[in-house]
Amino acid sequence: MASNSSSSSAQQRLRIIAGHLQKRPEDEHASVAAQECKAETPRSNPSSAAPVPKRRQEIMKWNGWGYSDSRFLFNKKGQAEFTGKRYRLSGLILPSLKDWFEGTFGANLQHKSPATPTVNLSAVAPPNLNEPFIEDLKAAGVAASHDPEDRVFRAHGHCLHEIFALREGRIGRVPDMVVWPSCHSDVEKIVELACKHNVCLIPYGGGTSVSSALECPHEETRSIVSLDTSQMNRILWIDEKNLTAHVEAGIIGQDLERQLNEHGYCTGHEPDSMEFSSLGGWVATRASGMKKNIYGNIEDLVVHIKMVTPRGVIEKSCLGPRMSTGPDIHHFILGSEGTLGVVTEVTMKIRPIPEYQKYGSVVFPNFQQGVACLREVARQRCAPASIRLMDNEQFQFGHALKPQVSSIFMSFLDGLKKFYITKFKGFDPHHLCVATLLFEGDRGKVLQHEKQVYDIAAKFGGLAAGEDNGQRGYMLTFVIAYLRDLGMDYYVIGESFETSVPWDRVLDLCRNVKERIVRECKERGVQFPPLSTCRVTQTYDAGACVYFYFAFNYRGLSDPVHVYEQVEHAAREEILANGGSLSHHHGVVFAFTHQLKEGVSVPVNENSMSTVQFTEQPHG
Amino acid sequence: MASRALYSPRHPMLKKRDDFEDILEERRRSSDLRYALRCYTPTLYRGLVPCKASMLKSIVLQSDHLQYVIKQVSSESGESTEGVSEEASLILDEMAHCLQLSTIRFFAFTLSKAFKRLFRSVCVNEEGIQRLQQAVQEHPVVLLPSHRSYMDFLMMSYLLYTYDLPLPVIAAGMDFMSMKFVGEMLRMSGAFFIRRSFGGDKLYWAVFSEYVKTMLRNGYAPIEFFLEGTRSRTCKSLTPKTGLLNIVMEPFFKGELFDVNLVPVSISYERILEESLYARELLGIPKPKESTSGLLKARRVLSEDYGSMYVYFGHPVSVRSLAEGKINRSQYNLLPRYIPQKPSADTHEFLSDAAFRLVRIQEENMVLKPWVLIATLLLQNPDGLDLSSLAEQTDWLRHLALAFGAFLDWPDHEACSEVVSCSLALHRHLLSVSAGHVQLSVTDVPQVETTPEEAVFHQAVVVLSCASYRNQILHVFLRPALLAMAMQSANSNRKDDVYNGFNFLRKVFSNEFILCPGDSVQDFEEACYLLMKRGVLQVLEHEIVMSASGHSTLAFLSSVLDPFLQGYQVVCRYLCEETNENLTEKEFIPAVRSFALKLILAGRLKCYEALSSDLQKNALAAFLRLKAVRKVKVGDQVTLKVNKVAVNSLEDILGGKIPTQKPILARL
Repeated sequence: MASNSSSSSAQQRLRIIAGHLQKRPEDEHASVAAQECKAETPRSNPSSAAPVPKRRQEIMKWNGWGYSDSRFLFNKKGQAEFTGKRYRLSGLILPSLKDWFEGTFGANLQHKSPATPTVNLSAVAPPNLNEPFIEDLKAAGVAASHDPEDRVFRAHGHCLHEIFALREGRIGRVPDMVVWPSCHSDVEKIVELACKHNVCLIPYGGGTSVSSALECPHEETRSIVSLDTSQMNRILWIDEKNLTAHVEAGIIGQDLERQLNEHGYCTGHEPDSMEFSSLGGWVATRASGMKKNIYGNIEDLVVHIKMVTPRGVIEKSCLGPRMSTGPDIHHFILGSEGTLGVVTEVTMKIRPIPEYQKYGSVVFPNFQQGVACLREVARQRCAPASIRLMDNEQFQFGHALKPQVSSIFMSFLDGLKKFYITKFKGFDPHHLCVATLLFEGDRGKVLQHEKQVYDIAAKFGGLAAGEDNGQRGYMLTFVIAYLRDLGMDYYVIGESFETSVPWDRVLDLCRNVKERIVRECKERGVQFPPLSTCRVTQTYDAGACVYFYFAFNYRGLSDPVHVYEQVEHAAREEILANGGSLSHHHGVVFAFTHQLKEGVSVPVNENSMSTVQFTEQPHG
Repeated sequence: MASRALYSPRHPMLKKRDDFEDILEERRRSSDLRYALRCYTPTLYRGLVPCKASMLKSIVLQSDHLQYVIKQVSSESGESTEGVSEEASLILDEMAHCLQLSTIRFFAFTLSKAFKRLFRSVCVNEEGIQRLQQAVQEHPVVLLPSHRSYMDFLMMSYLLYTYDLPLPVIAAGMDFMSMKFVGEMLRMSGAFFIRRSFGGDKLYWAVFSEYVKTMLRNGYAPIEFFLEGTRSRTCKSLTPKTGLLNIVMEPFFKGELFDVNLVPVSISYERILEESLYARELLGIPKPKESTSGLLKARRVLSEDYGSMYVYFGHPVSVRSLAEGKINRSQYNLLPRYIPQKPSADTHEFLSDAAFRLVRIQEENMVLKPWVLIATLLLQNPDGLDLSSLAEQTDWLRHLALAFGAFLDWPDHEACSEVVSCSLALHRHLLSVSAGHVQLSVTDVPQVETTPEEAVFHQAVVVLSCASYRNQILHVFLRPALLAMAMQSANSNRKDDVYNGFNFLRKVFSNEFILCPGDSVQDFEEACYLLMKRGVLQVLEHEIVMSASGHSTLAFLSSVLDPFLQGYQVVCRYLCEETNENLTEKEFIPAVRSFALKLILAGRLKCYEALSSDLQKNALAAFLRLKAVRKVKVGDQVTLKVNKVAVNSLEDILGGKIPTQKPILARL
C-alpha cells in the first residue's frame, strides 16, 4: 500500500522514508508516531542541529510526559481531546474516552486534582557548588548551568512518585549543577574532574527512566552534578560495507532513526519511549524494541560500546561481530543503569529501510486462545516484526481511544463489524481479546508472511480484524504516558511494569498478577476496582514478555503513592512467585534492589550494588 | 489477616460462634419427594471450566504430568507406554466418581426419611453456609469435615444439596467400594475411591493426584476429604495426614490457581450411631467388613433416638494467606510444572502445621452437649454419683468449660437437674440409675453365664463408649490439664521445672492429642493464662503458685488425663516385664491387651481404658518417637526392640516417681 506508484526511484525512496517515519501509510487514519511532526520542523542541516535543546523546558513538560503542547484534556463539553499538532491524534475528539474513564475508574469529571501550574523555583534549594570543580570545568570549556529550572528538570525520571510529587509542587533534592558535554573527551574530562574534586555524577540521557535512577540520594553530602548527554547527538560515521553506524550516546531515538533514514537505513530499535529516550539510556538499561523479532534487542544490536569510568575508558579493541574471550565486557555495561560509568559512543548494526510495512490484527474469543496462538507462532519462529496480544480490558481501553468517526458510513461499518464478531461468531465482548501485528520487509514476503500468521491464528479461533485495529493498538503504547497525566488530573494514578516468563506459565502469571492487584487494592482501601490489565508484548523461543498496566482512583486515600507502591510491590512479588523475571526491559537497579535478591538469586545483593555505584560516585 | 485469626486461640471467651438452624424442621413440614425433585441450581465458581465426568478422565489421562510419569514408569519397568497408559486408565476407572444428580435426588429423598427417624434435629450454622456460598464463587473450595461416623459425608452432600451449593466430590477409602451396589451408589453421589496404601506406586500416585488437581483447577466441584484419614473411633481428633492436603495446595504453590479456600467443617453428634461398634473394635472384636448385608442388619439402628446432630461450617481459610511468608513459591520455578516434585522440608513443615491448625479449628467448632460433661464426671467416679451431686458438679464443670472456651450447647432456660436427667435419659443404655444413684454399667446383661473376662469386656465397652463422649471435650481441658499434671509431678514451683514437665508430657502425648508441633511455649502460656483467669494459679515471673481455692480444679484437670497416664504406664510395664526378644509389631496390641486384662482381673488395675487399642497404638508410636523402642525389620516381619532402661525411666516419670529433668529427657 505504501509504494504502489512507480515513479522515479529517488521519489520512491523518499516516499519509503516518509512512510517509515510515520510507521504507516501516509493516507491513513490516526497515527501516533511523533516523527512526522519532527519532519515538519524546518531544519536545514538536521544531522548537526540539536533536536533536544539544553533548555528542555522550552519544549517539554516539567511535571508530566512529553511535549508541552501535547496533552489530553476533557473539553467544556466533557469530550476528551488531544491537543497540539505533533501526533495524528492531535486535535481529534475521542468521544468514548470519557465513558470508559468514568466507568472504569469510578472517576468523575467534577472531581479534579489539578497539578501545580508552574515550578516554584523558590522551593529549590540553593546549589551546593564545588567551586574548584567549576573552575576546572570552565577551563576545560564544558557547558554548565546551575539555573534552578535546569536542575529541577534533571532531578527526576517518570516514576509515578516522582511525577506525583512534582504535580504537587514538591521538589526534593535536585542536582546542584548540570553539565553538557559535547563529545566523548568532554565526558572523560568531567569524570576525571569529578574524581579529583569528589563530586557525584548522575548521567542523564532522555530523562525517561522508570526506575528512580535519576533520583538524587537524600543523604548525599557531595555536590551532585547531572551529566546531560543530550548534546552528544551526532552520528559519527556510517559504514555501509559492514552495515554499522557509530553514534554518540546522547542521541534521541527518533533523531537517530530519522537521520539514518536520510541515508536509507534504520536501526529498527523502537522502544515505546523512542521519542524521548537516548541511545546511552538503551544501553544502560538493556532496552528492548517493539520490532526486536527482526532487529533484535539492544544487546543484539550493539557491536561496540565506549564507556567512561572513574578508572578510565572501557571499550573493545575491534568491531568483530563475536568474540570468544569472556566474560564479555558488554554484559557488564548493558543493564548497569549508569552505576559503572557514562556510555559515550556506540557502534550499532543498521539495516536498509524495509520496502513495505503493514499492520494487522486478529480477534480471539478469549485470552487463552490468543496466548496459545502466540505460542504457536513462536514455535514456528514466524513472528512478524511485532506481535502483541492485548487482554479484554486493554482491548476496551484501546477502543475508548477511537477518534470521532467522520461519516455515518464508517460508524455503520463499525457497527456491522461488531455485530459480526459478537453475534455471528459468538465472541463474548467481555472475553474477546486482540492481537496486533506489524509486518515489515519486501512486499511479496510480507504478504506471504501475513498469510502464514493468519492461518495459524485461524487454528486458534482467531479472526482477522483489519489494519485499523492493529494500528490503534500500537498507538496506545505511545499515548499511554500522556493518558497517565490526564488520569492524574482526575484522581487516577497508574503505572506499568513488565516481566518475562516461560510460555507454560504465561496464563497463570497474567491471571494471578491481575487478581493480586485487584485484591491488594481492595485490602488497602482503594474505593473502586482498579484497572488491572496486561498484554503479551514480545515472544521468544522459550517464553514471552508480559506488560501490565495498573491504575486506580485514589479518592479517599491519604497517601496514594504509598498505596500504589505497596500494590506494585505485591504485584512484583506475585510475578516472582509465578516464575516471572523482575523485569524484561524497564531496568530495576534503584527501585527494586530488595526484590532483585529474589529475582536473581545469590550473587547480586545490595552490597554489591553499592560497591558498583561507588566506582561511579567516587569516594562514596 | 485471615491467617492471624487462625493462629490466635488467645481469648477463647471472645470467640464468637454462629447460631444454628434446624434443617429437619422444614423437612418435617413439607414433602420429601418435592424436596428431592426440586430445582437445583447451585452457585458456581466464577472460573469454572465446564466439563463432564467422562471428559475429566480424558483430561487427566492426557495431562502432561501423567504422560510424563507414564513414560518414566515405562522406561523403568520396560513395559510399553501403551501398557502403562492402559494401566493408568484402569486405575482411573477404579477411582473416578460419576456424580449424577438423579442419585443425589434419590439420596435426598431416602436420607430425609432416615434423618428424620434418627435425629431430633440437624443443626447447621447458616452464616457458615453463606460464607461458603461466597467462597465457592471466588476460588476452588476444599471441604474438610471431621470424621466420626459414616453419616458424615452423606450428611455433607445432603446439606450442600439442601442449600443449593455445588455437590462435592469426596475422597473415600477403597473399602467402601467392595460393598456391592452401595459402593456404586456412593460413586454416583460423588465419591471417588482411593486405596488405603500405595506408598511406592508412582503411577497410582500420579493418577490420583492429577485427578484431584484437575478437578480443583477446573473448579469442577468442591473437593471433600477427611484430614484425619479415617473415622475416629474414640471421638478424639486424629493426627492429620498431609498427603491430600499437599495435593490440593500444590496448584496454588505452582501458580496454577490464585488461591484455594479450605473450609473446616465440624460435625458432632449427640449420640454416635457407631458408639458401641467402635468400643468393640477398640477392644479387639474385629471390625466387620463393610458389606451391604451388614448395613441392612444395622437397620435396627434406625429405631433408636440419636438426639441432635450439629454441623458447623468454619470460616474459609485461604491457602494463600496461610502460606504467606512460609512458602517460597519460587522454589517451583526451576522445574517444569508437570514434573512431580517432592515437597521440600519447608513445605512439609508448613503442611503439617497447617493440617494441625485446621484440625484444631474443627475441634473448636465441635458442639458439646451437656452429656459430655456428665460422662466426664461419671468416668472419674466409677462407683457412681448421687443425682443431686452429679447435677451440682455438672454445673461447676459447665462453668469451667465455658471459661476455657468450650462450644457448649446448654439449653437456655432449664434447671441444671433437668438438663442432666434429659441427658441421662438419652444415654440410658450406658447407665444404671437406682434410688437417685447414677453409675456407668452394663444394662443389657446377657442371660447366659459369663466368664470374668467377658464381664470385664462388657464393662469395658460401656467405659469406652462413655469415654468417647468425654474425649470430645478433652481439647478444651488438654493444655490446662497437662499443666496441672506437670505441677503435680514437678518438685518445685519454679516455672522452668513446670515447663519442663509440661513439655515432656506434651511430647509423650502428642500422638494421643492434637498438639501442634512447635507450639509448646504457646500452649504453656495459654494454659497458664486460662488457669490464672480462673484464679487457680498465680503466675509470677519465675514461679507458678497454686491459689488456695484452686485445688479442686487442678485435681479435676489432672484426673481428666489420668486414664491416659495409667494406660501408658501399663504399656511401659508390659514392655519392661513381659516382652521377649522377638515381639513383632503385629503381636503387640493383643499382647498388651491381655497383659492389661490380667492386671484388671487381678485387681491391680482399675483403668478399663488401658484396654483400648487406640491408646496402645498411640503409646507405641510415642515410644518409637522417643526412641525408647525401635523397629527392626527381620525378613518380612517387623519386630520391636525395647530399650528397657529408657522405658523404665519413662514409666517412672509418668508415675511421678522421678521429676522430669533435662538429663533424663536427653537420655531418652
